[in-house]
Amino acid sequence: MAPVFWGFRAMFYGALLMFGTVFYATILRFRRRLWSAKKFHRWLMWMTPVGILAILGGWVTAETGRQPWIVFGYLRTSAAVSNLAPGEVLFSVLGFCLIYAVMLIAYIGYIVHTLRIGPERDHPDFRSDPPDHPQPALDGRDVSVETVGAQAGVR
Amino acid sequence: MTAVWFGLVLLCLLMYVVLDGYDLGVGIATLFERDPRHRHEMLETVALAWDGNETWLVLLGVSLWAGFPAAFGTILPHACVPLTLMLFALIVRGVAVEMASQRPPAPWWERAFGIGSLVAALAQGAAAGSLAENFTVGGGLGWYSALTAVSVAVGYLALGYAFTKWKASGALRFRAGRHGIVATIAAAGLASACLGAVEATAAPLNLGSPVRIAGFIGLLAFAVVGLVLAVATLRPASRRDGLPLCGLAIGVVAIALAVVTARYPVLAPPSLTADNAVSPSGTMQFLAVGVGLNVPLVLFYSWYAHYAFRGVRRTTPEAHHAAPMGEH
Repeated sequence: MAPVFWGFRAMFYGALLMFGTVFYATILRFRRRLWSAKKFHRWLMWMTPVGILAILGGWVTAETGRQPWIVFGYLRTSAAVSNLAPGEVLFSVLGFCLIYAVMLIAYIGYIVHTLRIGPERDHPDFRSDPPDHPQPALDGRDVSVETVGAQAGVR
Repeated sequence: MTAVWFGLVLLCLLMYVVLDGYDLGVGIATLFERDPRHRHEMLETVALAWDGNETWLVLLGVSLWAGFPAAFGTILPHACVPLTLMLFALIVRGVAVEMASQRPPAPWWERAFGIGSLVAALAQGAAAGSLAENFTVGGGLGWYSALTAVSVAVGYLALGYAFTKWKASGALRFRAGRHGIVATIAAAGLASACLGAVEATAAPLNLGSPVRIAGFIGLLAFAVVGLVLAVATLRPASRRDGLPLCGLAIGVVAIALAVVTARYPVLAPPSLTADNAVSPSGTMQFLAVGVGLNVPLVLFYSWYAHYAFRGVRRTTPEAHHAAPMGEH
């Protein structure tokens, strides 16, 4: 029962956190404080993995909660399992773990590289030669919806 | 309903083989390309549409699963090792395309793209060939799977060169044409070997009725016409750069349909037929709506992706170095 219990809570409270965050962000936006709310930005950073954790929790809930059925009330898992040799299963599981681990490392490497470049590269005013007076990309002023739309259009 | 679903599975299979065939083929061709600028250019020509092309594989899996669950449940465990290998190769290759495209120069990612393409092609060929073998749990793949694996890889290579000749310019176009002729002739020879050798497997061709014989011979003649057209227009002197891919597509589709004509309705040896692998009729009708809505959509964006990028790449060395990162 433990996986179902904790999986469901991870999903449910994760969803509440995300709804709350979006709701609070909307309030900040209407009060034109979203761009300058430093604490909220820090909070958003910590919120990054919540979506994935909620997905995983929901998935664990669904899969473990349904056992011993694979299709509830119609087909048992023991009757639906593939007729595979142990070596084939081992090959695919180990292969997936290995490949995803390598891809994760490559992905982190790429993300770190991109973060080092920073968001300025894709800014409309960006010039590759360093300007005399460097401007921060996010200058703390909230901008009108039209400007945000125009910037999003550029990207 | 059975015939509709069979046609749908076949459509997905052929669309996949032709579309992803050319981009896997371009990947294999990068392994034979010494000039790093050309390698990168080849990669960029397929970076635009490869993911769209691979959606046909997803649709193939879904329509086989939905329409012929018994065939899905028999074929997938039987071909588990090559199909898993194919999946690994497609994962690596997909990441490699984007990495090499976003952050050039990336020689290691480009190499991974080429090797991933080659392994995926070989694995697909082996999986197709394993359909002609006796279905046993944990049984290894036989010589026929090895033959089809090489044939599919060489066939994809020909498609890849045809696509490169169409999309590239200058020396790359010239070389793609010349290599493409060799690959096309080799692929035609290997395809004939596969058709000839299939009699010695567990899935011999059934040419028992005049209709089947006529269909089989007619489609093969059609394939020959397509391949001759491809070879003729692959010559670097020929300016009709779109035709080699058309000719090869005709060849591939005609050969596949000829095999289907000679095997229908048997899906897997010895006696799994379309009729006894089919889903209950209610399921089929329900899923026909879902899959049926997706097919036009995928057809549309497959067309649109190629239409939007219908031009020819003309890259000069200077332009290559100045290309911004993350250009799409």
